[in-house]
Amino acid sequence: MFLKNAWYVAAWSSEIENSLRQILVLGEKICVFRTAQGEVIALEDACPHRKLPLSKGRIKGDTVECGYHGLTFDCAGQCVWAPGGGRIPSAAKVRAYPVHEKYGLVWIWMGNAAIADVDDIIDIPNFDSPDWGINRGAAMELQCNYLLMTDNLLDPTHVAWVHETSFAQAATKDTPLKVTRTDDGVIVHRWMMDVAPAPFYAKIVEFEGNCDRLQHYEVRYPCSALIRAIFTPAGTGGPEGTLHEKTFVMDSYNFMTPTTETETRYYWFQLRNIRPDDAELSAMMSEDVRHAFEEDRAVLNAVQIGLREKTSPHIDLSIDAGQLRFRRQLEAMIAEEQAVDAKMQA
Amino acid sequence: MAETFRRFRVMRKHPESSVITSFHLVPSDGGALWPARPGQYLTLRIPGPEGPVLRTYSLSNAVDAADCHRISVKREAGLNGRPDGIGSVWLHDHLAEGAEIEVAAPRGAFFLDEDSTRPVLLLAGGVGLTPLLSMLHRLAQSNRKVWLVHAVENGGVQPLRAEVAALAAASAGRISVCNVLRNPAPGDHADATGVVDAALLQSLLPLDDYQVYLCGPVPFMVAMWRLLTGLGIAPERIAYEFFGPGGSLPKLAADQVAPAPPAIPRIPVNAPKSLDKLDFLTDPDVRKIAEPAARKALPAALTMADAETGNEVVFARSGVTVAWNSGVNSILELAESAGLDPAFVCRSGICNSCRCGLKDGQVEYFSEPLDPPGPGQALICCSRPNGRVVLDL
Repeated sequence: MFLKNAWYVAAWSSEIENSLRQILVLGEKICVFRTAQGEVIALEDACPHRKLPLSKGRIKGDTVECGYHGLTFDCAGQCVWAPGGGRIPSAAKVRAYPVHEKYGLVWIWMGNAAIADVDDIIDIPNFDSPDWGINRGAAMELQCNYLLMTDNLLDPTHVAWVHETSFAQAATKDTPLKVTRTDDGVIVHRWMMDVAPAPFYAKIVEFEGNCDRLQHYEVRYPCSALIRAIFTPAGTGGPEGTLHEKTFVMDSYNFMTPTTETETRYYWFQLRNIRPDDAELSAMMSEDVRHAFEEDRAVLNAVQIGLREKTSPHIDLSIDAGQLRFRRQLEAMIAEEQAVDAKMQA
Repeated sequence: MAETFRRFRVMRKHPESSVITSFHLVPSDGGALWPARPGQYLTLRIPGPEGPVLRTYSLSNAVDAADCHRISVKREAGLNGRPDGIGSVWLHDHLAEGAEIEVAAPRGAFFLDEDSTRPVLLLAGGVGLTPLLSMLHRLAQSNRKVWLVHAVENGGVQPLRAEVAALAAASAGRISVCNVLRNPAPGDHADATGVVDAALLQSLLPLDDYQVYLCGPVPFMVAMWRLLTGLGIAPERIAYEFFGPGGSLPKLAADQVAPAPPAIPRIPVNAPKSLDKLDFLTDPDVRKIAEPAARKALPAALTMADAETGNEVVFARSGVTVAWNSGVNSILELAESAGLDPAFVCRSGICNSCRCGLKDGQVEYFSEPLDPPGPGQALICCSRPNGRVVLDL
């Protein structure tokens, strides 16, 4: 089950060129391409005649020509030419999806096009700031349902076991979590006070000695996440902390696009408030993050199988409160959306 | 719990105000007084029309007093058709000087943190003064700055004012007292009149990092909670105790008030400039939405009279009845403290493993269950009894 009226990441902008390509979003096959003017177009990937994917056809100017009988569709999905010499059948059209490029990503609206609003795309305050550096990597393919990833991103606890050599430190095992519901999602967070920086961050922070560390795990409906890490010299953190001029903040943005019920395409990048132009640092961070995410992927792929093949019930622990509340609210939103859709069709 | 009761004799009984009477209790066996922490309460076994009932009363004197334990009890006469408070009326009307009563050892998690050096604000409503007065006795021996604000209706019902004044007078200015009389009667002396509001607190208290102890009627506590948190005092700096059923003060405050205006993000003073644009930083809770009420809020009109009805849990299958006490957080913990072993997994209201039959009474949830239990069911890991509760356990 998916929430349709939402923006999902369809691809990195750099992945879409002036050639036809099939992508899969929420189980729907979509033909995407970039026009000669640079605009990204997304059309239902099935010719209404014999359902050959349009992505197996060719681009002709700003139109797409089906590779079977040449039916030709404009960027709005309207058929502008059909063989047979007659008029174009009124049913000769394909669905066109609203798309928008932002943050180097192509966003696609999977629901009612009439209510697509690009202002609803997540706000990333420091994306273009000269004070902030960015690192990113290729999208990852996960063999699991996207909600296993949203679970993972509302779960600071797993760090202690899955990322022992990168993000973990002793305090990640048992410092209590706080769950907060917001208008658009759920936050699970905790401050760990006066601890040694975890291995990954120890290489990056610009102060000596122990730190106060914030783990802020936030997932917004349906499946975008902001994981904020703050490292500040011990004694300057906490909810009422004064922070320090050397405070290090890393905002990790994570976008899960369900391709099918059991597969997910995972896009991510990190913003940091230090050494914005340090390419070597960016490369190192991307490599380390990718390594850590591979650790998640291995676990989640196996969890997907484990849950599918289970022969006895699984249990939920107190650490699962955030992810279960997130799932419950998302389920309610999906049910409400489906009820509205059913009403409109009736 | 039964083995902890001892017999105490009423050495002295004397009125403190038109509605409050003190009882000075000494052990009948001539043994030592109990060790207690300032703010804790005694449990008294009181004869009731349907058998003994247990009632708790805060110690109002110094916990290291050599001569007696003192409790100061408000006579909760029934109003508007409500029954009289079983415990308080019996104490006032039937427990005479020289008589004996069974008393259990001091308990309670609401007590003075003596490791802290923070200045202290004691905020009392009416008879809620009693545990705070015990704290004041201990604080009088320390070197911490103390402000005591006592809100009462008028001078006629205000207890123990002379004792408070004497402690302040002997403190060389370290203890400040403000008596706030809502409707002063002719001849009453008030330091302030009306209700305790932000302007009053700001005029009394220098900017500092206070530890607050709060006790009084529920509507008073809810109002003070909003006031204090609105003034920027962190919830973890506000310790509070209900007399009788209360629940979570933050939740009560949230339930009864319109949604707060959006919090203003706070950019810490020494943060690097690069963080200016972030909408939250050190405290993600600025973006919190009001949680839906997990259960109906206590009626605003709830008074101390309701508080006398007593909270206890009957574990019907086990044949055990346990009085609620503030040493435990949940009915699950209460059951475990009584030697029972109910099923649990998450202990936070999400897995429903602890769900059981609710045969009678009402529980209140201090943490909203993920899946609310059906009628006639209760989740015991995240709830407390509201009155007498009978569980199929």
